[in-house]
Amino acid sequence: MAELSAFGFRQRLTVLHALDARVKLAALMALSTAALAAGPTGLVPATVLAAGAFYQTGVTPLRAAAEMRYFLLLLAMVWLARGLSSPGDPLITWGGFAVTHQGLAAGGLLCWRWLLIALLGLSLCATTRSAHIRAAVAWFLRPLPGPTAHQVGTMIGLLLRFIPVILTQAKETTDALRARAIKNRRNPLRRLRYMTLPLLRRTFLTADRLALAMAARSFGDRRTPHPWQMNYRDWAALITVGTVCAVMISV
Amino acid sequence: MPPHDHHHPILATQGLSHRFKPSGRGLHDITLSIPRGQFVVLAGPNGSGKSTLLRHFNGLLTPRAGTVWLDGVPVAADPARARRMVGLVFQDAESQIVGETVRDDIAFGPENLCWSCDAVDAAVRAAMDQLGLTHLADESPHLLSGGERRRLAIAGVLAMGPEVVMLDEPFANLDYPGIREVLRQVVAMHGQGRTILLAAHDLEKVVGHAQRLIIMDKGRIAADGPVVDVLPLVEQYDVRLPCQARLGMSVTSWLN
Repeated sequence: MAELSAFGFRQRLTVLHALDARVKLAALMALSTAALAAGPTGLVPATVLAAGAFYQTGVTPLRAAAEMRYFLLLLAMVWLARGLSSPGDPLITWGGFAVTHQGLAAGGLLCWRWLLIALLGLSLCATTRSAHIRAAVAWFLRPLPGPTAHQVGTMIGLLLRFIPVILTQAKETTDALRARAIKNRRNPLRRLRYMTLPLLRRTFLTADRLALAMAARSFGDRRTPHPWQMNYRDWAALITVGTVCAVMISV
Repeated sequence: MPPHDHHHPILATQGLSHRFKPSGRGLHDITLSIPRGQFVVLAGPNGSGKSTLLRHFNGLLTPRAGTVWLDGVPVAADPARARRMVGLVFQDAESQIVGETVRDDIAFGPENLCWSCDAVDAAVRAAMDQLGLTHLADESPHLLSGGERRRLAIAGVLAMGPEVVMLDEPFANLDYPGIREVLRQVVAMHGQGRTILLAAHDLEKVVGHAQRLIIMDKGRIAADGPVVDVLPLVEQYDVRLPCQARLGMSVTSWLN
């Protein structure tokens, strides 16, 4: 079975890998929020920071582009749509349509922001164990009412764990249907029904067995807390990110 | 492991009954006693009640009638204690594994017991070492082979330090090397003094190591005793007699 993503966690000796997951998550939230409010000049320091973070993941730009191909295609479509739909000075005119300078600039800025946020998010995933991300999310959710933070953390963990399982089950179901000539069925709704019902049944059965297995391993309201440790590097990273965010918004 | 009280059998049931609606299947008046450190094979055809009985020992099910004791204490009085002392490895290892990595999954049980971080870490390292999973610590369980996944499920249970380890069809869907890997671990756990309760419908692979064979049929205990005494009866209850026994020989280990 192949590795699911180039952006899965890989152990390396970098500053980003060594940072506290809470710091990385807080930095992602702060930089993403600032990026949505920043102009082109403000995005430059954040882009430098994101490029540095991406370099530390060890993923090559080509591999990253291949992994993000659908996202990049979506961004290209957004850019084109903004170019076509925004009023302004026409750059290219074809039939009744015109691509405007202002539209391309606005679309470019939007795509730049989203690419920046995506790169930061993927850098977080590639340099942080998912268990640490889960623990950081739970830590940030502590003050909120509702399910306990560790229950939310467990839910996130189970989601990450079972997405590949469900995808494998979907592929097995599809293969079994193809082996029995599902392609000969013309009605797409019927084909969808034959695909989804067994998959849903298997997924619910898996969930049922999982709940039983978790109970058998003493899952309850309390667990060993995650051992957090903030050091000088984490504080330095927080100050750097805070400064960059302030610059992004002010320029 | 906690100090042993040798006066009680580690597991015992008295008149245990359980009924699943609407099929009516379940357990009927099960009375048995398992001494500490015994290697017991629980055999029987599908639907005979093997898995249901194991779940009662672990406190996952509550009896409709009768009592289940764990080291002299009724399981129903303290199910959390039962889950700590009795590890259950399910038939479908894929559904049992909850961690995103091998290390995370093994740590799940000890963390649920609220052990200190150092104790969790030590238990995880020991379990990985024993099951030969150390080199896979940061792998996703989804990428493991069937045998590795089954060993991970055992490691996840072993890290909680159980006195009793129960395995439900541990050899299902495994190839020959996978079966030998798992069997070696089961024999090693028994060698460490743990009580082993292994449910299987194919006796060939394991009966050479067992001290006692219990045959279940339609929710009842049909036969119970030393392997040599019970083995000749198994085909009456739709359990296949191992080839060597069929030829009049004693059943040898798959590890030889």
